[in-house]
Amino acid sequence: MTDFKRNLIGLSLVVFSIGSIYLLNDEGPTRIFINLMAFAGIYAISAIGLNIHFGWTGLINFGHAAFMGVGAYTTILLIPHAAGREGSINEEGLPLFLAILIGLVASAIFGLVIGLPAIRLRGDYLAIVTIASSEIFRLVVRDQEDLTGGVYGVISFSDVFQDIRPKFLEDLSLRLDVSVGQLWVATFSWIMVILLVFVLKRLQNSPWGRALRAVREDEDAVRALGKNAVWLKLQSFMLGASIAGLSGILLAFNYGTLQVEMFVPLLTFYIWAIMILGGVGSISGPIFGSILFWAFISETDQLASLIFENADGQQIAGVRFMLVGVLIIALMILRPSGIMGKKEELLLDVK
Amino acid sequence: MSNNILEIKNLRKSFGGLKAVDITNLNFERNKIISLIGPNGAGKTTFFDLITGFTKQDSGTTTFDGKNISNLESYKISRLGMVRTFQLTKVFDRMTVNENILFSASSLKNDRFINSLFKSTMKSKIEQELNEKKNEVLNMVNLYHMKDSYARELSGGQKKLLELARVIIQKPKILLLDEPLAGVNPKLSEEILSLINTFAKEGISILMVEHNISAVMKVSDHIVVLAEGSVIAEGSSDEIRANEKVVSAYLGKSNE
Repeated sequence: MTDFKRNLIGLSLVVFSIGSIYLLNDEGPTRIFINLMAFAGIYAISAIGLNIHFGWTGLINFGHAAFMGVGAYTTILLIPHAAGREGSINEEGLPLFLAILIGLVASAIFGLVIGLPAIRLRGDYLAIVTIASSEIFRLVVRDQEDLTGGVYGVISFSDVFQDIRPKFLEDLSLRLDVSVGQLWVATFSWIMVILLVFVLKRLQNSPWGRALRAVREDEDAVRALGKNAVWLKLQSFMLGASIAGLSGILLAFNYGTLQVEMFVPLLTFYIWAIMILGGVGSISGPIFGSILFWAFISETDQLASLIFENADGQQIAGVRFMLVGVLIIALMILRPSGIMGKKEELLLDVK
Repeated sequence: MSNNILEIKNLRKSFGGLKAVDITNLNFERNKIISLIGPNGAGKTTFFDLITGFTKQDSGTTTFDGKNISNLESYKISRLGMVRTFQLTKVFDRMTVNENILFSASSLKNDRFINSLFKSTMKSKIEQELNEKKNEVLNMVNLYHMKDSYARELSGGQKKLLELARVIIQKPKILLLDEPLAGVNPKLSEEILSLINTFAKEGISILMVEHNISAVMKVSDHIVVLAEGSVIAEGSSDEIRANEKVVSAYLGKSNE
């Protein structure tokens, strides 16, 4: 299949799913649409990071949520915020972009720290270590109430981010009748997605990207040819972690609050679903995958109401899980390479 | 500099109670084709793994080109110019033939992340030069027509050729070939043997493990016989064929 055909299929699926939002929702479809785009952009960034781990380098990382969490907590705690039960306000803080930068570095370092002992291990063992580390991270954050706000979380940190919002968004939000805060998060996220696509296109077609693919295919051969496979894997781990960190930061700004429960393992598996849906190894795959995934999620309410008379939150959540499961099973059978993936580079062989 | 490219002293390795390799003294001369033969389980592949750093040795000293490489990491040994292939061909399946070879040819500096981010792309001058070198090598092994195919699409024999192309582009000082003729048809075997001869003429020392005895006898300058982890004989092909111990341990009567 040509790239053109792949793009066409991806685009038509996106148009179809967004169109269905406008058709299925009578009230405030634009509001739902902007909400969807904000989440889709943020999750796409995270899936792009995971794709570097798994799609490019073959590293099985089941602790992606923790990388997002480390970035989010580092950045948010460095800017003015209110944390904990009393909501003690901390008005001192670093400039936003410096804080974001430190957050990204922190995620990369977290990746390095997990990676150093674990990355010499083969596939499955790395998976176990990452999932364990992500749970350790979550529990430590929950317990360190003085620093992280514990179960009470962190609030009142969005102002610095909203202060840099371009003025024209305010008029636009009034005209579209959507929340200007979320409109800005969505816009900013998609700018980041586009930037990442440019940088990663370059990296994928670079000697470094080629070396990562070689590691994915056969580590022994890489070592036999004189290349340091462990260092290449660590670099990949750090880059992907840092991109996940960016996603976590934006996720916090999108919710307007930072709760440790945002970074449960379920988040990791949502990101995996998005990556598989879009096509493992391709650059645009996670983006298409993310939009489709969120279109599905935001339409679950309608689907749930078809099954239950008055669906409550728990029932909707149940239907949501089922949908994601069905979606992945269908995809694995019908199109195992995902929407944008190349058949020749199929990583998840279900034969 | 000594005339030996590789000197091995007291190399030992056991797996549990099993003594896999126990070699007191073994030297390999420069610019020769040397074959390592012996029954299955004699420790030939383990010997390769030990000297290339893929398996940790229990004790011993390996000197390569005057440098002590015992306990050095595998990729560092490879960088010094001792490059190996594997018994089960290890090509990068989901990469093209081109990419397989370019990856091998690319320098560490060219592979660097920062370099890839800001300077080098697939169209850079370095990559163009690599590309020319790559085409030369591909022509040599007759794989040029497959250059854009994914390696997984190649036949078993072609994968062997690709693996050879991938190591030879690095111009190693010594090439360790683990059963280069295994599962290859007779015609391709001849092709591979003539390639090995060409490499040797270019000044690359060859050390190979191989079970195809007639081929081994034909190309080898020197043969080393391993059994149960130790060297039981070494010498020219005629000497080996006449050696009683080798006949009873490995060659069998029919080969006399």
